[in-house]
Amino acid sequence: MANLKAIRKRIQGVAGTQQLTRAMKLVAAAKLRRAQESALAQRPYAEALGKIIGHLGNRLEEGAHPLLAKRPMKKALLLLYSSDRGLCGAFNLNICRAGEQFIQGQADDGVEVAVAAIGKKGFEFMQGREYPVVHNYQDLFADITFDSISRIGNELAAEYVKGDYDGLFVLYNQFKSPAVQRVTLQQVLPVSLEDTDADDNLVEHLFEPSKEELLDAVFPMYVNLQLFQALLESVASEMGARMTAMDNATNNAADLIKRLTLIYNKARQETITRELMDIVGGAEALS
Amino acid sequence: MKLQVVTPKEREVDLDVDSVTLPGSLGEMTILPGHTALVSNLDVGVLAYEVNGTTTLVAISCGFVEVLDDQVTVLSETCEEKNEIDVERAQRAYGRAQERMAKAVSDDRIDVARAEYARRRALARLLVTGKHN
Repeated sequence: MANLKAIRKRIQGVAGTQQLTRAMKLVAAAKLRRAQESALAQRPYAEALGKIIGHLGNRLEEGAHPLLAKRPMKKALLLLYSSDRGLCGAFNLNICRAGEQFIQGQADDGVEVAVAAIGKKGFEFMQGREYPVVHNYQDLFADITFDSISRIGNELAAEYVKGDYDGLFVLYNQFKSPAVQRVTLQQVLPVSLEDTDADDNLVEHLFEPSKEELLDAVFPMYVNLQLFQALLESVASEMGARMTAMDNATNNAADLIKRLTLIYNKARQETITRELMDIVGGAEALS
Repeated sequence: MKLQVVTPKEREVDLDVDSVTLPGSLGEMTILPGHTALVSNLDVGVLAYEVNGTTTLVAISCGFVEVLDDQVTVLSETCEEKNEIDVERAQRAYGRAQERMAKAVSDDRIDVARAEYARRRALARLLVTGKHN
């Protein structure tokens, strides 16, 4: 009997967990949709900014702006996008391992890498392995605004101009589908003009107040936009990963419940049979 | 003439207009159809566009504008229409910013540029709602 009771309790426990994972899956799905929408919504802005840079930027010299300045790479900064929360499969582990590989790869080339972490998980991983973490950005995810990422971008750009490091890399999970994320490394600083669509046969633009002042405003914005895009991709990936992980957990719980119910029923049947045998045996002994 | 206002969050405005008035960093400017190609910085302030004699105001923060072939593209960090603005909050922000600016004369811990930015931003919001006196 004690065995029966224990199995029943176990089934109830698993059912409770299943309810939880199912709820988390639904929440992640809703958040994923929102993240996908904002990733789509910033595209017109990115395109418009790319066009302006194209118009400003063709035939630009490297010395035209401090953020374009290429220096021999001695120190690099890695901006690592992870999440604040767990229960999202291998999402954080994948990105942290890729970060570690990058740091070691650069170290082999004689480049020192410092880490700036977005999200608690990446921070804990990097600090736990005693890599130098110079920035730790948390609480970004509750309310994702361009403003909060600009603050980070401006800080990092200022450090680049000051010469604290010679290159800024971002490492984030690119969203492919809810089940697939691809770890992506991208160099943000110095700004490279190769991927903007420069067009040579253009109408000559009027620049107000002046080309130089416009560049001063456009490039930081371009950097911030790239950081923002990476953040949106990372958040969508996180939600996708969590949704998939929680879906698997819910299915596993269903399997487990099925198996336990089978065991429970068998055990119950056995008890009944044994009791019947006892009664029959007792009746025979009496007659 | 087509007007587009885009922010990193969404495409806020996308329509045909007769004229656009923008808070350029060198001063206010009005763009009419046939304007020459132009790229300019924008200050925080009020953007006004006119369609069939009706003028609509929106509050924008720093950004850029590009004019090319009767297509005006405004890039701004934010873009708020009248019904999106919390008047009381803007009024409080305006009062606070003015206080800080007044205090800044004697207290150099205050970031004047930031206070001024906050003041202009609040002012733009109030102008859009028509609640500024």
